[in-house]
Amino acid sequence: MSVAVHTEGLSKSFKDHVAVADVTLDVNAGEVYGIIGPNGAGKTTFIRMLCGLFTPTAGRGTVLGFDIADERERIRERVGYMSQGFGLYGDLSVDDNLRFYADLYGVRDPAYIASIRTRLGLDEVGRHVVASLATGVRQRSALAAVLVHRPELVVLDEPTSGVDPVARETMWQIVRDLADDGVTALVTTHVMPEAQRCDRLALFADSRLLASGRPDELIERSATSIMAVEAAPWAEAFSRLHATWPSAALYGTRVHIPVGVDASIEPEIRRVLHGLEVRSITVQSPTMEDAFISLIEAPASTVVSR
Amino acid sequence: MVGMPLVLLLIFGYGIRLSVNNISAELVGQDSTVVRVALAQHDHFDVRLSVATNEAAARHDLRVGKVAIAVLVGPTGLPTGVLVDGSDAFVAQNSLEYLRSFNASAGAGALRVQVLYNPTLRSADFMVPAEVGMIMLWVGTVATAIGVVREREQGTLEQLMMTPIRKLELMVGKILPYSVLTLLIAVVITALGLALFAVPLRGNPFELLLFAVPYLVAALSIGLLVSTVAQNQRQAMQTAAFILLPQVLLSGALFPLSAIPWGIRWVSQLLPLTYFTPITRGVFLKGLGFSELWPQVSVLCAMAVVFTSLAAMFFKTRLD
Amino acid sequence: MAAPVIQARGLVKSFSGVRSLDEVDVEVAEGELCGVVGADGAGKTTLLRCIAGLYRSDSGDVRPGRARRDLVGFCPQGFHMYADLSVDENVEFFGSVYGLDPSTLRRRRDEMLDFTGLAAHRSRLAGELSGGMKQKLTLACSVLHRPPILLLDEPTTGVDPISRRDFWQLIEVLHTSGTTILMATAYFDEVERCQRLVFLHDGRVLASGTLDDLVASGADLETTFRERILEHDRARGRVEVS
Repeated sequence: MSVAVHTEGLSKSFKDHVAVADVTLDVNAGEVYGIIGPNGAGKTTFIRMLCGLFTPTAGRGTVLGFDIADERERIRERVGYMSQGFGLYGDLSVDDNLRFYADLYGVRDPAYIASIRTRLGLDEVGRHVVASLATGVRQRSALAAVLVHRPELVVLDEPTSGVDPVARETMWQIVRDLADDGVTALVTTHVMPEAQRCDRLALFADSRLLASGRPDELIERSATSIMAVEAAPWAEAFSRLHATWPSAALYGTRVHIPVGVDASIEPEIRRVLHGLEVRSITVQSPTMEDAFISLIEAPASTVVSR
Repeated sequence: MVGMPLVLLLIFGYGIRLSVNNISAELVGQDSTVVRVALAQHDHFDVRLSVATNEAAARHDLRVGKVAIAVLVGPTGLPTGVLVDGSDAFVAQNSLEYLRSFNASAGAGALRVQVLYNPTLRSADFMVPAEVGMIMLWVGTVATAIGVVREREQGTLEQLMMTPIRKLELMVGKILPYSVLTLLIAVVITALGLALFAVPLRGNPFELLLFAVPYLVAALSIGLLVSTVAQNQRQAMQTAAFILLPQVLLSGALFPLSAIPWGIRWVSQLLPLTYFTPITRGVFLKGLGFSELWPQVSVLCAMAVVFTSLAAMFFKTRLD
Repeated sequence: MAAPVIQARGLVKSFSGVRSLDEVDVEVAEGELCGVVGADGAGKTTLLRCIAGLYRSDSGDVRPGRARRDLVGFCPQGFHMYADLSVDENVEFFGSVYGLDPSTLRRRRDEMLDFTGLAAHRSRLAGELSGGMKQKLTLACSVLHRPPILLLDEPTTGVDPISRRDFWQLIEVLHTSGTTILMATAYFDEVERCQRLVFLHDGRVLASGTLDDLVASGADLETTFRERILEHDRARGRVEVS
């Protein structure tokens, strides 16, 4: 399996703050690789370095075998970057935008451009002005513009922000199809539940790489699980449980308590809820967000896997 | 984008004349047909039908601004002297020129000239009082407009709309700090004018401050009106400039009112600065008080009421 | 339900001829936490603003509306505070505009700053706070007058997971102390935490009810919503191309 992206100790500092600190990771060709983390964690700066838009202040990296500091032009020819906010001209039509980007890259194959349009379901909206389209359609148009020059790697920065579930599912299908065709996809997002759609992920927090690996691995590594308690009356149950476990959270009428994976607190729960009707206590696997929080709050050992 | 510059072009083109016409004049002493006809012919002067009985009466007319020059006619029926209101240096200068050339061509003797209120026709004496009005206008209108629009952009206006605050309270709250600021600036300009340019302040400064209040309210209400149509700070600035530029040009502050053709003169009558400039010049140079300036002050009070009501009408406390 | 505290019935609101809200019905009982989930442009902000009285609806009833905005705390999306004033100054200003007398204001201010964890930052300029702290400040300022109703517009959008968790703890405290809360969100994992859920799509309510009402056991909330959207689009003769 070849490596599409490789970085070693990659860092970027600006005058007044450090945006990316010491990131070492690998992305395999044909993977859907997620770069996950809250806003301001350094995700966008990191991928801009990969695309050659920023010069690293320390460390090195290669994309598709080319050095990100010295061989940017070669990288830009082969990489498609879909930026947050989608990068299209709002007052031009979809077709005009596609033609513009094709021209920029010197692509003169109208049949291919048409096929991209069809593949992304944009045939009906070709003549529509981009600004008048719904967010999901606009996002697909932006992706089409990126695919026009047949990149080997696509970088999608928050491609599903603000989009309805149908459009979100559509986008992820397209990304998966691309990966199946051999195009590597780097996707950044701050929406944790989406992370589980990726083959592997890197968790970014505070400009650092917190952890990387497969989603299930990361959840396992966080060593947490959730006790889901359903009891009546729920308000009273919540208030008692919250008093004992301050991290207890209300989910509808159920209470979720994050615990260490080996902890067995069921007897204690029952004791705290004595006198109330306890309907069920089940163990659930944590969400990516729960895992993320526990990894962030874990003592400073950042475990990295390939 | 195109509209505003076009309108300004028209105003510039038609409204601004560098030559002065229709200078109000009167004869003193006797009614001399020779002088009257000659002056009337030239179109520079707008000669009043009545004749001032003596010099004292003429001085009074000059003081209250009824006329800009008074021509003293001698027993020969030719002008022997001229009294000129120097507070409007532009007009004063022009009228002196015309009269001197008239006299020369009529073969009359030398003209005894007395320029009142600004004997040396210093432009500072002419400009500084007018500047007080202009700067108050700029600062007051622009600052208020931008201040409100900025709150709208920031989102704090939306927050305020959710509170029990009433529309009038909100408007007053936005106007008050800018009033204080503008008055302060006016005081500073006046002090600088007195100190640096030795401009005289012959009237009562506290009265001047009092007269400034309705003017201020009118100017700031215009600022509020601008804020209701501007979507962002850039637009607020543009719209404010669009409203202010004609005021500066057409109010008589820079170019004399008599220079503005009748077709556009009606616009001047609608501008607050047109009424405030004679007030400032009157107080600074002529030592005038309420008894002489009450017409202008009343108009400003009426304007304050009108513009504030308009602003209140258009100021929305909802987002849509 | 007993007279709902927050209500929209047949709510219609258009902008430039396009319906942002199309016959929307929402009911929230006293003390309930209700979540409205939808994508950008679904009409969430428009809905909240109509209920708060910041927009006048074209037709339909709304409760509480503009007349009783003293009962409402509105926490809008994004940063709406005075960036060049300190945290303290912002809270004091809004407190005074809400008509709180000085001693009550001081007490509430200290309470709110402790409650939101901003006490340590009270002299910092509001513009310099992190995203999560800014949201907490906005929340603090919107509940100074102890309103029984709280409207939140996407309060944790773009906020980091830890601040988000903190923010939710604040909401839970307000909720369990009896405040009726209507919250708009784009996140499904958030709306799952509400007692009542409303699916908003393209200005219409596709479904509403409790989590159990809407989702078959074991099913995923987002998938359920997605299916509703597809049903809805098919019924209107529009097929979403995929």
